[in-house]
Amino acid sequence: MYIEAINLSKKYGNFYAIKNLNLKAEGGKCLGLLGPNGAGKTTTLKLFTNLLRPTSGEVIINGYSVQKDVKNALKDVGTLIETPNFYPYLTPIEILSMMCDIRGASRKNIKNALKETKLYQWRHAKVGKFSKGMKQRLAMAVALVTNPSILILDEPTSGMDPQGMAEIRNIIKNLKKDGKLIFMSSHLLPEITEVCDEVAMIDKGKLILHTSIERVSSMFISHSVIVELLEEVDNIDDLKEIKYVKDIIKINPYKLRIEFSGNAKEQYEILSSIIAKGYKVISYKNETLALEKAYLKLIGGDKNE
Amino acid sequence: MNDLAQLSIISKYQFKNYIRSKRLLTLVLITVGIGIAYILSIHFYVNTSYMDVKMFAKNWVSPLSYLVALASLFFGGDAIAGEYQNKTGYFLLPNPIKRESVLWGKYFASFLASTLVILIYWTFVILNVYYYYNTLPVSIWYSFGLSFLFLLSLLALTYLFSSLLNNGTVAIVIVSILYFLVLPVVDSMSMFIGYPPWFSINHSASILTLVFQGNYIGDYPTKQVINLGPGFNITIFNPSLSESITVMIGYFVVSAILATIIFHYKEMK
Repeated sequence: MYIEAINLSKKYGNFYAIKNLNLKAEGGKCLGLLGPNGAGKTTTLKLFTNLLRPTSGEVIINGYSVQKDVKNALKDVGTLIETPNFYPYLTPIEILSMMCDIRGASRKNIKNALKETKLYQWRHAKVGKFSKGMKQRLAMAVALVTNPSILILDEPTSGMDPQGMAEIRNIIKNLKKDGKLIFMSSHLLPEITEVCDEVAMIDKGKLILHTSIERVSSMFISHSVIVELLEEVDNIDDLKEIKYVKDIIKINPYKLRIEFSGNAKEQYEILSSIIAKGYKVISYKNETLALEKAYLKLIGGDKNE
Repeated sequence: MNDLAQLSIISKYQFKNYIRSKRLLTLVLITVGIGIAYILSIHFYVNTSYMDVKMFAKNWVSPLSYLVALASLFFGGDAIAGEYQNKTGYFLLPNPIKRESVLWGKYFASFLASTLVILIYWTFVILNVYYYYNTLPVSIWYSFGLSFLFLLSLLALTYLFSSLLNNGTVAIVIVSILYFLVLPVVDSMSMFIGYPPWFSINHSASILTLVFQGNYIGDYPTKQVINLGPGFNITIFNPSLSESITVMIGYFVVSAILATIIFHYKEMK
């Protein structure tokens, strides 16, 4: 079970939406495609699902070229691209039945898919009256209903309320546990860190990084912590003497930003020293998410920092 | 799953869409309305004993080409373009199904829905002709068959524009302009310049009523020059039966091939 982009390019006039993308994901895992708006995430997923045709290169799914043999390539792939619209006069049950019929799959999973996406009580309502969030839930149900081994999901939580987003993320996590291969795009960093095992970062149509979430975090570990104290601090010179501390900035009388050298061990030793000096620490955490920092560094978004 | 089975599934849901959206009902009501209006007009204003059966049937058949055009627009205009305009293509197209199965499945449903409407009209025609004359001329069966060939070709032309464009409304408007304005103007111009508009599907569709003329099928002049004054002639062209059939088949084949190729390569941007 694998998906692969080989030298994939998509050009509009003189503009490359995707340029020479080489990317492979294999086995039960979740690969997150991360990038800012306009980076080429949706274009990539559309090329994977035959909605767009590549200028050069090809997409291979389980050994079949999407461009040359779409029926075999997509036969075990569930898709959610953008927020699809549905035929307004059909009900969710009919929409899911249509999907099962087209794919030659059994309809036995329809009830589960509707329950999992919290649409069961709306199963007989006309889809034309659905909100964007409900359509997104139905789109997720469509991707799940035939129980495919591979799922290609384009910003699956788009247009949903926080509760809905959490529910969809839980569904994806459960799918991962079931050994499915999930290829999802998102511009939400916490979503990628929470759900995915690997991240592929793209910007301006080019792949700039593809590695595991753990590795990317260690590659770009943050070297500053924010310390919150119970009592006001007048003099920070005392704290500057602590080993590994490079600089301290007083954000306010109760909040400090400490820059240090080293890694997690040194970070722990600094905390121990602060407490040993009698400071009452109520919070001690990395200034920003490591992945966010890495992401901004890679796409050049940290220039103003 | 084989292509034919997928094609029939697309047809089934497309037809269901025509029923649920009340498109089919609307066109059936329009057809029944036209039929009733004709029956009442004939009953109150026409003395059928002074009218030949073929002339009577011809009058009944004359609005049929407009009904075929309306059915093509109703059921085919946004069939493909609507998938792009309404974003339903994001649901339907990223699936293990060939675009050809989607297009022909939809075409088949459109043809079926249009056939239903046209058959309702023909029921009015046949029953009313038989009611007044106790006989049905052979020409009526020619016209009957040719009306479905015309539907086949005009629907294919409509699907061509629907595949070409991303907006269903624009596709409907363009086919309407082409059928109700451009081609009639071309037909009129041909009368002045004296060049036969053999390539016009409107011109070919006139065979639906021409078969009722004369003593046998084809008993009418294909070219008639009329002098309307000094230096002012107009030429009336009538297509022969074989010419009409050839042009309609030509429209169907060319439009169907082009629509299939265009939709096969069309992107969902």
